[in-house]
Amino acid sequence: MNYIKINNASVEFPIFDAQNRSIKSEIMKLGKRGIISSDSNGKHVTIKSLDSVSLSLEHGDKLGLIGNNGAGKSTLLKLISGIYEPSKGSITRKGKIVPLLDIALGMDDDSTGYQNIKLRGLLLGMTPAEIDSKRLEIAEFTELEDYLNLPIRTYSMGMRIRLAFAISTAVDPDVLLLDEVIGTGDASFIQKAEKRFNELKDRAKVIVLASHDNAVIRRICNKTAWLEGGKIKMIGETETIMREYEKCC
Amino acid sequence: MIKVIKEDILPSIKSWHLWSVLGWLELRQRYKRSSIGPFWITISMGLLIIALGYIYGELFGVKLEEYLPLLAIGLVFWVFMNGVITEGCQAFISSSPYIGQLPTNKFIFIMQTVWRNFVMLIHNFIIVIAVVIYYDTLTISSIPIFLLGFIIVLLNLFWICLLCAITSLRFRDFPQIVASFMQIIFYITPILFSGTMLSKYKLLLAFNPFAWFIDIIRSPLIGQKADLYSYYNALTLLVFGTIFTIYIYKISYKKIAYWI
Repeated sequence: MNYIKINNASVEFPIFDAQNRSIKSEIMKLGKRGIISSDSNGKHVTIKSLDSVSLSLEHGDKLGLIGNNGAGKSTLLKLISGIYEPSKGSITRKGKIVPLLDIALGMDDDSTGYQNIKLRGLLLGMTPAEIDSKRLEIAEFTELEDYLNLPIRTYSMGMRIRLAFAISTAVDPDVLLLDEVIGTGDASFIQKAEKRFNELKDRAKVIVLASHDNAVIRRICNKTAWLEGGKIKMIGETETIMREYEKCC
Repeated sequence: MIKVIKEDILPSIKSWHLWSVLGWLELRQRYKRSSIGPFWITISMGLLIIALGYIYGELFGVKLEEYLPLLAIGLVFWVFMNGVITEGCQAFISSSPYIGQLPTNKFIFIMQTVWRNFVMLIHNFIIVIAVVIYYDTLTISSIPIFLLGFIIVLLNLFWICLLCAITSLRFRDFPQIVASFMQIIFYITPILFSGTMLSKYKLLLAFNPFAWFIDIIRSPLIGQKADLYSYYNALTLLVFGTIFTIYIYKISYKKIAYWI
């Protein structure tokens, strides 16, 4: 079963400067058309972040994305997740896709730890029943105990990350999307976090991971795509691609 | 069009857990650590109504027992409509972190905006209840008629809110245009006065959707009959507005994430 199938998809961003975004300039353009030839042809400037990408992912695929900054790794993750729809080409998605791009997104400072578990859970697409059943397990993992009844603005940075990590790794995705490996800064916590992260990885049927860390890609991924300028330059078995990549860069 | 309803609007409505929490959090943010919280809305609105009631009642030469219910209901529901529409302009803009990071359904943010304003309306509605009971303008039999009118207005507000949200996202001047437009509407709509006081400029009432909305909400509560014309127009507007907006939503849906 193909969870993700991308066919010749492009993602192009229109760049609206303040001029282009205003109604006034749109109306002025209407009036001008045909009378005074304007130097722009009425089209907005666009930036092509992904250019004719084709890809398919099935059960067991752990795809690594490598490439320079601006190569299109994050955009490809967002395309797969459904945040962006392709401006050209097509994509079909199956199963539950969970992007963990910003693990603290939506956390509310004035809500308690428990309330944030619920809020983040809902944002990650869990049902209220699912959240209730995982609440204890999440709470236990954070080791925050009574702090979970306090607003999280009282937390230290490390505690916040721990909570965000615990909630985000409680999801049951079919397709898991990661922008760099998520982790916690807390030294005593790292091993525990790594174990939990591995469990999450094993639950997911498909993983797509964008990373600048070649060792991480080698460890986690069985397939790798090398992106450059929005195109897939090479795709294939991780070791082959990595060797080429390291030779050149 | 069916697709966008089935894949975005309906699932959004169903995830009420999420939009109710998000709307509620935003409201709490505004009244953070204040001891009576959102009831400040009620208090300031109450004071405004009393002050305006005495002064404008005198200016218009209307008895207080006639004027105060009219003013209280008009103002409370105007604040609701105005809130949904002006905040609707920000519905997508202010949710851009979510839209850019999560593949959520987007109508959720409309539900969130309407819900937040609805909660504020409930707070203000206490004043309406107090006034209609004190001046005894309400009959039990008119409550269903009031509810009918309110639901028609509410449904209208949904499409207006969505349309404003999409347009504002693409054209960032739009929120300012809406804000100044609503300010003018406030003065030409029978909120501080009644429709009969404005008989000289009947056209202002005949073509003003907000005048119809106020009419079908307010009249049942003050023991009058709303104009059938107002119901008819509000319903027609609802049908055409909804179809038009869903069409716009359909064609712009995929671009929303690109416009943030």
